[in-house]
Amino acid sequence: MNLSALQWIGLCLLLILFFTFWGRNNSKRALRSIPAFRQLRRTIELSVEDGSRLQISLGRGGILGPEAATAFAGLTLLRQVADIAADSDQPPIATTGDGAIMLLAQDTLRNSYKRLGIADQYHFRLAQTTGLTPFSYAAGALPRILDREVSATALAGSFGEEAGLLTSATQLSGGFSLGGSENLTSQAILFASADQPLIGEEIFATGAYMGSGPTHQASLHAQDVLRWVAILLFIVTALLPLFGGLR
Amino acid sequence: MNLRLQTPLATAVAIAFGFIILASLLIPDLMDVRNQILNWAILLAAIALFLGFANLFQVHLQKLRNKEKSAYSSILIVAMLVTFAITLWEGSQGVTAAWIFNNIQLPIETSLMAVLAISLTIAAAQILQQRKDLMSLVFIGTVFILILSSGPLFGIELPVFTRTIGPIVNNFLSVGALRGLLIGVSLGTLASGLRILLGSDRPYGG
Amino acid sequence: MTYHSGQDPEESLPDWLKALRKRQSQEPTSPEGEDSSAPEPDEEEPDWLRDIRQRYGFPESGPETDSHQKPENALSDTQPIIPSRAVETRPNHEREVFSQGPMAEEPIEDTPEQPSQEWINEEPAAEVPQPESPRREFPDWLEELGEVEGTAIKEDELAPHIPAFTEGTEPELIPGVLPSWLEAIRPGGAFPQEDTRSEEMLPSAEKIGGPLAGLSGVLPAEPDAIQSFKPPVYSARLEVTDSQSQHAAAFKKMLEEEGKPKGDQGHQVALPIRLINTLIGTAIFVAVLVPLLSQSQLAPRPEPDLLPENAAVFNRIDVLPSEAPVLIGLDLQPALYGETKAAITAVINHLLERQARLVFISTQPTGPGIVERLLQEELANQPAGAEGNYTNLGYLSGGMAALRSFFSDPRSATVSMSALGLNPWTSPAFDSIDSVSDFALVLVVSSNADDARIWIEQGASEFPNGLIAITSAQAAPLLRPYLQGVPQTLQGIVSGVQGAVLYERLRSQEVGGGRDLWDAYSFGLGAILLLILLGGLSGRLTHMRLERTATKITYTEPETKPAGDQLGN
Repeated sequence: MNLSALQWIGLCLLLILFFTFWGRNNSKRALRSIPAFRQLRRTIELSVEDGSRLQISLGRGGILGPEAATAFAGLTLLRQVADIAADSDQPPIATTGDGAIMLLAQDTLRNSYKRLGIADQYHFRLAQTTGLTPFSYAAGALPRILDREVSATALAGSFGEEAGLLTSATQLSGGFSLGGSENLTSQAILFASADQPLIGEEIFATGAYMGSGPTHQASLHAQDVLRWVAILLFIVTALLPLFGGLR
Repeated sequence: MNLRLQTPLATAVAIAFGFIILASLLIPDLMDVRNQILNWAILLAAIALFLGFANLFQVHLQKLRNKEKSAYSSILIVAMLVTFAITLWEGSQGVTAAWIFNNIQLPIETSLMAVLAISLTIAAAQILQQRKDLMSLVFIGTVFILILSSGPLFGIELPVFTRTIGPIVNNFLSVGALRGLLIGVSLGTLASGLRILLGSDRPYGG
Repeated sequence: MTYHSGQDPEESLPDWLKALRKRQSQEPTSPEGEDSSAPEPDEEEPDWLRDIRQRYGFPESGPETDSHQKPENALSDTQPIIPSRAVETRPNHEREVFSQGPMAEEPIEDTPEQPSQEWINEEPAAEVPQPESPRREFPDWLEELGEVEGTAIKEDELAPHIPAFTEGTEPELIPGVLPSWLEAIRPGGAFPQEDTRSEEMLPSAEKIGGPLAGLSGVLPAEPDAIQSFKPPVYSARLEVTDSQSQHAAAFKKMLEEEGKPKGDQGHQVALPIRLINTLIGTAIFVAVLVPLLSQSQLAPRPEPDLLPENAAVFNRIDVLPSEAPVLIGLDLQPALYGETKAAITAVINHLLERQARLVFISTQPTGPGIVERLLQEELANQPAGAEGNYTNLGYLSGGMAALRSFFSDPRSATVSMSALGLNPWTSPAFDSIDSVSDFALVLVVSSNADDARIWIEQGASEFPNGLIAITSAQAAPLLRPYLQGVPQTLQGIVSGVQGAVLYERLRSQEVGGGRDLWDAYSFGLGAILLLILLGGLSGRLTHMRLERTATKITYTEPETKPAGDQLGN
C-alpha cells in the first residue's frame, strides 16, 4: 500500500489549506515547547539590550535540491531576527557558502530594513559569502566568532561536518549556539556540540515558532498529520502480508 | 522597481514556475518545458556561484578600505586574484593551478577536518558534564559502541562488538532511526515547497 | 459633633458645649482677642450670630446692605430650602458611635464648620426678636424644632434659633461681594475677628499646654482629650536576616562592578579550555603519528565476510570486459579526501587493471582538481593515469537539477570542459556513449550521503548495469537501505578506511594505502575512546563535587506579628 508522490503533495496541500483557515484563532491549537526557540528569542533580546551581534549561518547548500528547504527556513529565521534586531547597535549578519543563498539573504535583509524604515542603514556586508566550499565557508566564518564580534550563532541551513567547527568556536568564545540542518551527520554533530540543537524536522518549524504567520503553523500541523499517515501506512504495509498469509 | 510592485511580481513568477514543474509530473508534454526551466535554473546557479565569489571579493576589499584586519583581507584578495588569473590562463587542469590546489587548498581543508575530529572528541567528553538527560547518555553509549565496532582498538579487535553488536546497531537500529529522521525531513521539505507555491513563504524577499 | 435622637442628648454633649450653653444661658459671652467691626454682641449670643440676625431680621442701612438687599429681593422667589437637621437623617449606629466613649467628648476639630453647624442646630429662643416681615412657610418639623424646649439637646439655651433666611427681609446680595455670614465661615477668614467662644472652650494661649503651647485660638487638647506622654523610643537598628544581608551584599557588588570596565572575560575563560584542547589534540596526534611513522602492522585486517558489500563491488569490477566505459561521479570534498583516498585508490586501481575507460564528472567545484590529483599522483604508477587515458568532463553546475539533466541527455549537459571550448564527446572513447545507460558501470564517490543519494535516486532507473559507491564511513549507514532494498538500486559500497583495507585484502594486496592507515586508525580510535571516557568521567565528577560544595542560600521567613500588636493592643 503506497501513495504516489502526487498523492502526498495533494494531501499536504489540502492539509495546509485546511489548517490555515480552520481554527486559526483557536488558542488550544498550541505548539509544543521547543527550548531552542525559546532560548533563541531570549538571546535575540539580550543581544539587542547589550549591543552585541548575532550571526545567522545559512549553510552551503544551494536552492536546486532538497537542501533548499532548510535554506529557506534559515532565511525565515533571518527575516524574523532582522525585524527585531535590525535597528540595534550591532545588527545581525548572515553568512553563507552559496552565492544564490547570499543573494536571497541580501534581499531578505534589504526588505526588512525597508519595512522598518531604516533602509539607509542597510549595507551589502550584512549578508556575505565567506567561502565557496563547505570547509572554506566555515573557515571564513570562524574569525568573526573567535574575535567575539558575535555573541550568538544560529546555524539554520544545509550543513555538513563543518558545522562542528562553527559550534566549537562559539563555545570557545563563550557564546550561544543553536543549530539545525537536514543533513543527518550535521544533526549528530550539532547534538553534541551546539547549546541548543534542532533535531529532525524541527528546523522546518522555525517560521511557526518565530511568528512568521498562520501558514507556517498550518504547515507544521499538516506535517504532524502526514507523519501519522506515514506511520499508519508503514504498519498496514508491514501487516498486510501477514493477513494475506492467513487467508 | 519599488517594493510594492516587486513583491507581487516575484511571487507570481515563483508560483507560476513552481506549478509548471509540478504539472510536468502529470503532463508528459511539459517535460521539454521543465527541462528548459531547469536549464535556466542551472545557469542562474552558475551565475550565483560567480556572484558569491564577487561578494567575497567585495567584502574583503571593503575591509581593506576601512582598515579592518587589513593584513588578512589583503592576503586573501591577492591570493584570490592570482589564483583566478592563473586558472583563467592555464585552465583548471593546468600545472600551477593544480599545484595551488594540491599544496594549499587540500592540506588546509584536510587539516580543518582533523581539527574537527579533536573538537568532536572534546564535545563528546563534555556532553555528560553539560547535559544530564537520558538522550545524552544514549548518545554517548552509541558513540562507544560504534567506535568499538569500527575496528581494532590499539591493535586489539573485540569480536563481540565488530561482529555482533556493531552490525546490529549499524544495520538495524541506526538505519531505522535515520529513516525516521529522513521521513520527517522529507515532510518538512514538502511543506516548505508547498508554502512557496502558495505564495505564503517568500524567501526571495518582500 | 454630637447628634442625639430619642435619648437624653444633654448627657452626651461634650463638656465644653455644656459649659458654653450654660454660660450663654447665664452670662453674656465676651469676645476675646481682636477687634471686631461687628456691632456689640448681645449678652446671650455671639457677635457673628447677631450679625446674621440683624442682617436678615432687620435690614441695615448702607450701601453694602442695600446691595445685598437688592439681589435678595430679586431672588425672593428662589430662596434656598432650609437644610434639614442632620440629626434626623443620621443613622443610629453613627449616633451611637458619637454618643459613646471618649471620642464623643472630643471637641470638634473642624472649626470652620462649627459656626454653620451651630446655627443650624440652634433652636429658636424666646429672647430673639422675630423679624417683622412675614416669615416663610417652614416645614412643620422644622418649626417643631424651634418650639421644642427642654429636650435632651437643649441647644436653644445656648443660642437662640435664628432662621437662616427670611423672605423679604434678606439683605440684597451684592454681585461679587460675599455676604458677611459667608465671609465669616470662609476658610481664609473663617474665624471672626472677635473670638466669641468661651474661655473654657478656648482658653488663653498661656493656658494651653502640650504640643500646642503658645498658640492662641486653639482648642485645648489637654488634659482630657490627649494625654501627652513621652513617645516610645524605637530602635533605629535595622533587623536584617542573613539571607537579606547576602542579597544586599550581592546587589552592592553588582552596583560597584557596574562602573568598572569589563575585563577580557572571554579570554580568561577560553584559556583553560584552549589548554585542554591542546592536550587532547596532542594525545590524538601522537596516537596517530607513531604507528604511521613506524609502519607497524599490529592491527588485524577485517575478514571478507564482515563487509559483504565490499565483495559485491569487487565482483562487479572483476567481471568488467576490457575497454568498458565506466562513469565515475566524484562528489568529494577536499576535507574528506584523506579518508576516502585509500578506498578510491584501491578501486580505481582495480578498474584500471581491468582496462576500463574512465569518465569523470563532478557536481562539486573542487571535484576536477581532486580527479587530477588522484590520477597524476596517487595512480601515477598506472599507465592509464600517467598517459592521461581518461576523460575528465569537469564540473557540472546546478546540483540535483543539473544531474537530472545530465542523466537525461549527457551530451547536452553543460560541463566545465565544454564551457572552455573543449568537446570531450568527440573523443573515440565516447563513440558508443549516447546516454548514461551505455556505461558499463557507474561509480559514485561521495563523502556525503546526500550527494550519493541524489545519484541513486535520480539515476537508478538510468543505470541498468548497476551503481556502486565509494563513500566516507559516515555515509554508509544511510546508504544501506538502498543495498537491502527491492529492487536493489545500489549494488555495493566501499566505505572508509575499513572498506579500503578489506578491498586491498580482496585484491590480495599486502601493502597499500589502506594498510598504511589501518594501524594509525586503530590507535587513533582507541585514543579518542579513552579521551571521551576519561574526560567525561572527570568532568562529571568535578561537576558533582561542585554541586555538593556550592553555597546554598537559605531563605528565612520574616517574623510576622499578629495584627493586634501592630495596633498597640
